[in-house]
Amino acid sequence: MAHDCSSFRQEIWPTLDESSRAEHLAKCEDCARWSETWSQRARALRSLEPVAAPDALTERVSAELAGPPSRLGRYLEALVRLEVPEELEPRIELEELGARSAPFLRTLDYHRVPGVLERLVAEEIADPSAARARRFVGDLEDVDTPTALQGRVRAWFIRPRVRPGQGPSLRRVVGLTAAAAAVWMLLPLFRSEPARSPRNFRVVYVESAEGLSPMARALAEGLSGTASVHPTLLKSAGDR
Amino acid sequence: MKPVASILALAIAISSCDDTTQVVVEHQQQVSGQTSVLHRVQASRLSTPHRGVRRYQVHGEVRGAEHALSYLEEIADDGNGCFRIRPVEVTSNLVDTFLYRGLLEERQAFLRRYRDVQLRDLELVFANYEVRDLGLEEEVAGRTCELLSITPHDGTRRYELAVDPETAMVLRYAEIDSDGLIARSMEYLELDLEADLDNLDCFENTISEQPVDAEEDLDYEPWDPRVLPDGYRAVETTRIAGPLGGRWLKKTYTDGIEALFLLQREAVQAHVAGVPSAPAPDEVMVYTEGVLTVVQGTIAGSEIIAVGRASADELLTFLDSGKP
Repeated sequence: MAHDCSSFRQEIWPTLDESSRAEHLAKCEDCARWSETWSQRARALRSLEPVAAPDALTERVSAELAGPPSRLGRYLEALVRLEVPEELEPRIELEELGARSAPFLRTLDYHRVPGVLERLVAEEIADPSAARARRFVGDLEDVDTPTALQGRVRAWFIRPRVRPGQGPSLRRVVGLTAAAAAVWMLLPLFRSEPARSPRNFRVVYVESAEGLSPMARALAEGLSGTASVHPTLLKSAGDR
Repeated sequence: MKPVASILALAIAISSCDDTTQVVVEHQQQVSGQTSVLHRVQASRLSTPHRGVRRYQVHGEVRGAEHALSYLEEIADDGNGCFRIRPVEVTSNLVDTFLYRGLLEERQAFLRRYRDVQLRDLELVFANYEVRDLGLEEEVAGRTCELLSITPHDGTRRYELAVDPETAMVLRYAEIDSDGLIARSMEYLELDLEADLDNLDCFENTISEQPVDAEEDLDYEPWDPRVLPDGYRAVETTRIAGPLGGRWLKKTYTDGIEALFLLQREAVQAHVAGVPSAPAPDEVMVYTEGVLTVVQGTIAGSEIIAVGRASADELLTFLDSGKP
């Protein structure tokens, strides 16, 4: 590799025409391997059958886009942020997208292809016939287990019944009873918590922090990172 | 994994075969590596001089309505107790942000000390949480951070931390609830580790908090609750004094990350025409805001405050078990 492949692929590759690319690939083994990998992935992705989003999801996304970014935005932010594969960066041009969808797409630019999809594509490339066979097995109709197999499984896992005359002896019954009594008597010694009793004080539940002392409010605010909201601080419904 | 279970697992693994021993040794090395990183994270909090701009976001509830609050704050901290945190931009769907900004600024000492996710007790962190190095990197405020995930064993939430490996500062964290939604988050947008902090105009903190020696002769018998929320233990006893109302004895309990505070002081007996009136009845009020519960009242001649991330029932049981 006579040049910096990484910056070449980011900066120069997108500007080249097909013949210049072919010329470069003939000279650079590293870039040729990179190009082949991406071509394979692109072919594999193209071969996947397009699936329409469920109606419920479409409706949900439309509703979220129409309103203020709330749950969807928070959910997208909650996803683990990952860097964009460097090969994709030049292709992302948020400026060209509508102003309405841009805030959502900006949250997406931290993410990359979900791991599951990446794994499936990798499996497809590595061994297409095996991957296809696994998908095919998943589509097979469920059938009942043959009776003979059920019988074998039962024989393995179900304990044989005690035959008449082989039941527990009187000595074993006495022993088990004595052990149970000992456990029952010793159990309280191992309890770490005292038994719950009714409260020794009156409890009043309040819905506002106004009755709390300044110290209680300060500690709660410190833990939550907020300030107690006095009713006079609330915006009127029209301002929200 | 509980300590006993860990020892058993280790013993079984060692006795089984060489390959397993290798796996166990690797696991121990991994845990030891995590411990070292977490120790550094613990130590760097409040002790790294810097200036920066941070964004804090929280989704809570106010009077039954969903409250989405977000604010930018400028922070300057000399790492030695002198700091200034100034909220500069507040957005909220519910409150008047101009006035709210003033309230936040007034609370800056409490926000600095208590607000952000912190590793209060590493032994408990490992006992109560699963700590995972996600093996991923993320750029925060121009610095490449490593991502850690910390999940309590009950799976009720998850913390994701972006840690700067050089300074061990947590430059971003998010608390993610069981629905996969961000409950709160903090992120540095700008960070200057070389800032000139010589002439920093420190926030004048009028509240003092000093550790209490176990042997200190108290005027009254301190409360000592025996029934703590699951996984918690006492880690610190301090005395707080200041304008927020007299001297309080404060006990801090933690499950490793979350904190629970118990404050106690002698109730002042009211006088009517110079004659002491009847002592206040044993009564507490319970206030819940989001995941936080506050219990405050007078019991057996003591004023009591309990604040923490626990249910009302857990805090009441906690108090009920603590009377001297």
